Amino acid sequence: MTQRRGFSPTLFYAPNLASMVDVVMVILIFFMLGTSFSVSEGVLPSELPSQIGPGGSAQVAIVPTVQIALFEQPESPGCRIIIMDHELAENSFAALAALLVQRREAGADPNGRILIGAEPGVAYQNVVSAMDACVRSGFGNIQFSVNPDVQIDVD
Amino acid sequence: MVDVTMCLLIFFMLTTEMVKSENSLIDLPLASAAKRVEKKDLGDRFVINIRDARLSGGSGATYLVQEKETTLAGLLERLQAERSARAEVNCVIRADRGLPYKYVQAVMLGCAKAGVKKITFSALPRGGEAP
Repeated sequence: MTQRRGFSPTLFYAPNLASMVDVVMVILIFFMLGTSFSVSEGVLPSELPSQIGPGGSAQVAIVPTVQIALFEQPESPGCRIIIMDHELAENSFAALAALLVQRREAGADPNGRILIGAEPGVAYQNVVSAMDACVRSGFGNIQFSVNPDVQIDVD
Repeated sequence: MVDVTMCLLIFFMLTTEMVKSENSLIDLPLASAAKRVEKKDLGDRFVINIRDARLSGGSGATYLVQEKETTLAGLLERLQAERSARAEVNCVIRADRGLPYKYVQAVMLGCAKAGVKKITFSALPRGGEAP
């Protein structure tokens, strides 16, 4: 009786891992680079008044609970913060948040309108910081006053 | 298995490209109260990216929709078209933190004119003081 010579059959079915390792490495590098794209972003929601509509940006009369105005501060990234026609002694958004918390604790309606207005040249970060201070203080109904006459140099 | 893995790789590459085309690289403002949300929770969103052109040596602002540069007038036309096509549009504004507010305000005014009531501001959920 003769025996067949050759490799054991199990050797034929062993997977070739060399190419698979390459692919896995490519995927790993892809995900490592891709992670930097998916920066966790948050959002601050806002809603325009329901009175506005097509052809709108209507001039609506709003009686806000709190009115915040931001004015440019020359040669500074910050801004002057005016709340209900009074300038904050300490010009910071932490002070604004503290004042809003005081108002809430004094019984201000948390669903009351907060109206934020800003000069055209104020940095966007300052407007978001003002909004952030309102949300942190428990006021969620934030609205913005916009000036339809502002000219901008795009186009 | 290698074929399947390759298919997955191509799928993820294409998907990432779609995400990139909607969200360009913007130096978002910081806001500690910003909530992390899933994209599906934003509903029918219309993402507007506003870049500070001064960062690239220009002046003014650059408006981008799906990674394509557009003028303010063009942007507002698209916003109007989106509003006509869908009952409720959520306008997501992603703007550079150092950008003068007037460029964002112009978009908000456009939203008001188009009848878009929901506006969402993208921010990084970190400390909210001015930089």
